[in-house]
Amino acid sequence: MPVAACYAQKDSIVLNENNKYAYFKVGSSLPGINLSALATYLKKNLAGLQDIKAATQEAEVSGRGGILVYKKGLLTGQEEGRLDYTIKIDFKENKYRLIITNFEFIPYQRNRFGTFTAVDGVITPLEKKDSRIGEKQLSLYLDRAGNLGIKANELVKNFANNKASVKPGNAEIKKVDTQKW
Amino acid sequence: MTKKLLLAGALFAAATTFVKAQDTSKVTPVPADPGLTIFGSVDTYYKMDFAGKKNSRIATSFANEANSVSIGMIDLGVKKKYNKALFVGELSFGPRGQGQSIPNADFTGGVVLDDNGNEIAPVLGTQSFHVQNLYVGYDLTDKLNVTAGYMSTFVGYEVISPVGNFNYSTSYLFTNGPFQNAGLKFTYAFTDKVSLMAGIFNDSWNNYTSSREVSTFGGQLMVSPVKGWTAYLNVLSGKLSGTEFDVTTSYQVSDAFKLGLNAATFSAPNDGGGFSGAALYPQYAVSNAVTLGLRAEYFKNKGKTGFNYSSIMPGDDVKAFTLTANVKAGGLTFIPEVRLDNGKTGTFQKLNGQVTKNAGQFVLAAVYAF
Repeated sequence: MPVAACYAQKDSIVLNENNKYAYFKVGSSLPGINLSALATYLKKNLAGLQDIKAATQEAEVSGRGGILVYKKGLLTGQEEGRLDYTIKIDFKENKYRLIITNFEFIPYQRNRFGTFTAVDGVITPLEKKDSRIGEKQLSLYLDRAGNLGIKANELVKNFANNKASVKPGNAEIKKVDTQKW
Repeated sequence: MTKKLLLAGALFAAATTFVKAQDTSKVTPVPADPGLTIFGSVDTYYKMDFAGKKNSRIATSFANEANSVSIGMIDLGVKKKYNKALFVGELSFGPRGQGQSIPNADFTGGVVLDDNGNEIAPVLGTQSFHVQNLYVGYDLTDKLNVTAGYMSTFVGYEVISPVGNFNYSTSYLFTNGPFQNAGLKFTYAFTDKVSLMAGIFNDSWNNYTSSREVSTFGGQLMVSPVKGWTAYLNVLSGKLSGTEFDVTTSYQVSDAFKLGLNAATFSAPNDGGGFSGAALYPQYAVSNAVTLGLRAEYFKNKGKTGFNYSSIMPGDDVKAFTLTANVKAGGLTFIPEVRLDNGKTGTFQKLNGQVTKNAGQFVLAAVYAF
């Protein structure tokens, strides 16, 4: 599979209308998806998701999270920092829209206990041209962001198209046109 | 032959298309953590004593050898967290991590005396390695963690590792406070802005084993009221080791400016005196590679009689100003530093041995961190 390695996950990340990096996907959905259950499902299965809630009135699920980014050698690795993000999934007309954006890099440093923790108060949005994040690092972080987006979309797509995810009361009622016989 | 080539080409194109199509819907799995981590540092320095004295008169920890190119230590650590379980092992070799740190397994006893009979350093044997951290941890829940073993102390602003400090020389508060504590501690994170640690530690600081019992209580309240500002309120109290209250805080005021503060008071057991003091650490990043910082410290020996703390006699105090630059070049940090200490009485000595209130030194250190 050497060819597969050539397609970086970062290609899934685009700049949106606000010039912010974003993972954006629209897919089909069953009507009446249980949004609270989707929030719980994502919290359990999506890496680093810390805070997610469903707003049924607005037909949306939104939250925030962070994934670890690190240097990886053959046998060992070392934390470089955390990539924070926001996630939002809207539903309308049997479709969902997934947006993951507001990617911010928080550098880590070794602390006195030999573990790695965030440097206080240093936060760099990925779009900011800052020498704290080199080209190589940016490419790696976008790759991780893309990876996260693809995984999130996989989860949302599976959930939104599973009949078991539909709220019982909102299940589509089957109607029969008695004029057609 | 041409048909074979065409067929091979078609198969390759089909395979490539298949793989590409797969790629748009599948995630290349990336582990959530880096697995085994190896970290450490190496440091070396040159120090010039302004009075030309060979033996340092500023008796704070490390960077002790004047008018000499000397070494700090090589520090080697490994860490791994798998699911909820963590271990950290960190060993150091070299004066900073051995004879100049307190638990030196090959310490032969006795002290080196200067021309006037003052104690200036422990007698060192061939020296053994020194354990910086050796502990295990486990996340009992998402919010509650337990850790047991020999750990860097939670008290104070500065640490043994030169990577963890901005200044290369150390403060009086660091030198006279705990370096490490062995024990068992629980940390509960109420939110990412507030956490509380409580633990029980060996009865004496800086030892792998207790003298008699595990009876020193340690507690730490961490609060982070605004983004970039973190404060730690610490207490360490034991019948044998005395009681220290400590505040350590730092605030990243802007991208370039950071302000740190450490204040502590220590009461030795059995009314044996103690010390108190405060140090301010303003730092300003001139560029991404260069940061300038000052450490301004006041330190007082609270005792009327009894122990000296870093040559500060009972009732005396000292003001110390250290101007330091950190110049980063890849993994290497160059640390030029000028330090001026001013004692209330004749704490320091001139080259001819006469006492003086002032002492000064220049240090150029290089620290490589990995």
